[in-house]
Amino acid sequence: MKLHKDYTYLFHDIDRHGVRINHTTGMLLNDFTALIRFKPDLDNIYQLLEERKDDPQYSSAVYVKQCLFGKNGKHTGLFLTTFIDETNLVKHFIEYEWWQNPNWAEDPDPSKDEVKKASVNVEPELDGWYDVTVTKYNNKVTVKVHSIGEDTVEVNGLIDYSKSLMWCGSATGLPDDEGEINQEFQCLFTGEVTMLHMQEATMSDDNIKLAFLNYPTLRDKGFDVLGDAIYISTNFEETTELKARDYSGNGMHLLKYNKEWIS
Amino acid sequence: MIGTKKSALDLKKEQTRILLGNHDYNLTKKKLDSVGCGMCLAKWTQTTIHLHMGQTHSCHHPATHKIPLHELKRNPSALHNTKFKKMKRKEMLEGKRPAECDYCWNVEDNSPQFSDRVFKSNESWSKPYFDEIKELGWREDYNPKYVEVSFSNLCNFKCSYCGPSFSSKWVEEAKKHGPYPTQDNFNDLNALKSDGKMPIHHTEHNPYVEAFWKWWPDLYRDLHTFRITGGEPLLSKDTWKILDYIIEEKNPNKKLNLAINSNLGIPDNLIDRLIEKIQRIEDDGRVNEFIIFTSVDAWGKRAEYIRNGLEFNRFWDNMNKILTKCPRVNITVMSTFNALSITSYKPLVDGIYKLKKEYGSTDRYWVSAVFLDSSYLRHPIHQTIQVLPEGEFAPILWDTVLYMDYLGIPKFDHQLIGYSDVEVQKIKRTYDWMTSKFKDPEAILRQQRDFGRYFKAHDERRGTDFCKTFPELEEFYQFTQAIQI
Repeated sequence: MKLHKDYTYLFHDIDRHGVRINHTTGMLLNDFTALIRFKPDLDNIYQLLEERKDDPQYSSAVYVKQCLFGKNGKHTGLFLTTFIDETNLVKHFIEYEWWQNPNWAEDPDPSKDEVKKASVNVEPELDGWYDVTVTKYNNKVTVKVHSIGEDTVEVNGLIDYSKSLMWCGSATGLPDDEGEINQEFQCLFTGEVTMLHMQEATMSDDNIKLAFLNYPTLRDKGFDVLGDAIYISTNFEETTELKARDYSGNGMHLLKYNKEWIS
Repeated sequence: MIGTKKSALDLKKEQTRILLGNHDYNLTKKKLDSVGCGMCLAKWTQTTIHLHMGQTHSCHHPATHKIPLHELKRNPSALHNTKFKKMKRKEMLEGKRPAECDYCWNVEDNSPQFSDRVFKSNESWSKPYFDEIKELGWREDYNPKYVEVSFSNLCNFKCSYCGPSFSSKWVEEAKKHGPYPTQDNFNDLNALKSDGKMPIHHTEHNPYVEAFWKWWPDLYRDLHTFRITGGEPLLSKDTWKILDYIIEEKNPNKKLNLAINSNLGIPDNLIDRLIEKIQRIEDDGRVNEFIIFTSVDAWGKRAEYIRNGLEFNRFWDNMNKILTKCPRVNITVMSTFNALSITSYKPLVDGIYKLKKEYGSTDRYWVSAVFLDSSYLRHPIHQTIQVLPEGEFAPILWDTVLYMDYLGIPKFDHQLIGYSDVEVQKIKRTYDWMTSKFKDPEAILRQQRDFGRYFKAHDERRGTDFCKTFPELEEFYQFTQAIQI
């Protein structure tokens, strides 16, 4: 599935027919395993870097941040971050990012929220497709980019994302405080995504391997949507003009974003 | 003391209704109750008339009753305004609850929900007439606004759950083979005869049809909705006469919502003739809307087994043909979800979605060219989904619910193509009914035995092969053959 600025998805909570078991509220807040296969559009990244080189807004660092899946607010989720370092080299990282405030209970001050990330250096020029597993268990987030590397970071006092909307292909479809819609604020992703699976229960290594090697076999085995608290599972093989089909049984078919859905 | 308790309960129900509900329904209920607690406008405004059996009822909940021929002699509108019905109207106007309307009284007495008397009285074919009906004496005749008629039971199909009342093919089979060997002697002609529901053969003179045509010019002027059912209506000359009347009428009732049921399995020349008539009616704007109601309950050969006489591909081609050649018309596919529907309903959902995509247009009376109206079969019980082993088959139905939800529109918007909330909810309701906890295992076992007996006899009589058509149900079929009670 090709995603771009005019084609992002919302994990919607419009359960019009009472079929949903696991709702978006718990996504990324509760423990989870998320699998995603994607390929970035490098031309798009380099074009954005080029445009930003001379933009005073990027005087301290020229970067492009693209969100594969995430929640809005102080954005959290899986990002592909590209920046030009001090030696003028372009570097790419696949990173899971979140905001936390360890002392919130004693000092509830949002200005003291801090950003954290688990990050793996990648080289899209050489790598092609990425198979990424993100896990969050026992207050530890691990990002594993298969065949490349992994990173684990502790979580301490994740801020409240329960009211946030959950997105695929951006960190938000909403405009910024000035009402502007732009790549930087929305972290729009341009590229292809061909598999996405998210659940709260841990997944066996065999099933993770199967998901990446032969998703239809995993799908056809069937899912325990209740027991594994699965949110969504799709390889984007079946889509309509409005939705991408969720095979998990949770009915969380991705909804092609249109501002009408949340008006 | 009892009186106090009852009024407290009524108050609670009233409050809950207000909380649950729509302001409009509350107002309608209050107006009805101001006349009497049993008042329902449908007793005047709505009627179904089975001309081929001489039976009528207003609202589908009360049983049909016989139309006395002697009443028709003086008054053809007695097809609807029977003395029997007038006595029920009298009860309503005098603050009583007619016993035949117990479906609604059960709802009202046992839940905070609005009953159908409120919904039906709130319809656009009822609500505007409240004042005139209230002032009307119970003896007065009243022209209904929503009329369903069947002229004949002549039909080229004999669907597994249907019967002689609505299919001449079924009459032929029942005459040849007698009733099916189920505990209720399914489709026993003698039972029909004793109930006075034996259809008049389509070649015989039918005094009810004769009365209808006397009444029609007057009735037509007042109609909001007119729906022709059957049998197969397009095999009846009276259906064509209706269409020609509308085409030729100098001053047509342009507010009329016209609907015709058809199995769309009739000869090609009749399909072409129907298209030609629709085009003439559409082009001249002679009706407010024209909807064809057709039926299919499964996909491919499975659908053909259920609806004996159906050629599935030709049926589908005919839907495409009508939607292509009639740019305004809509088709509603009425699906009677039964035990044999479950394993191939998903491709049907998919197929109808594709029709919606291909033919959806703002030029049509309704933007969605096709609607899928799924209702679960209740009778005969032995063919309902409740006879199937739930553990094995309910997940298949749930998968269909999820698939339909996937193809559903995310909000009500005429421009969006996909399944509406109502369409999805009706299949969800079917699942809920299948998995309902209130089932009597012994009764189910008896019905499963009837399922086995019925389809064994079906294959013998009709030369069909259940297990070949439904290999996924073979194990269950074999189980039903072995049931000993």
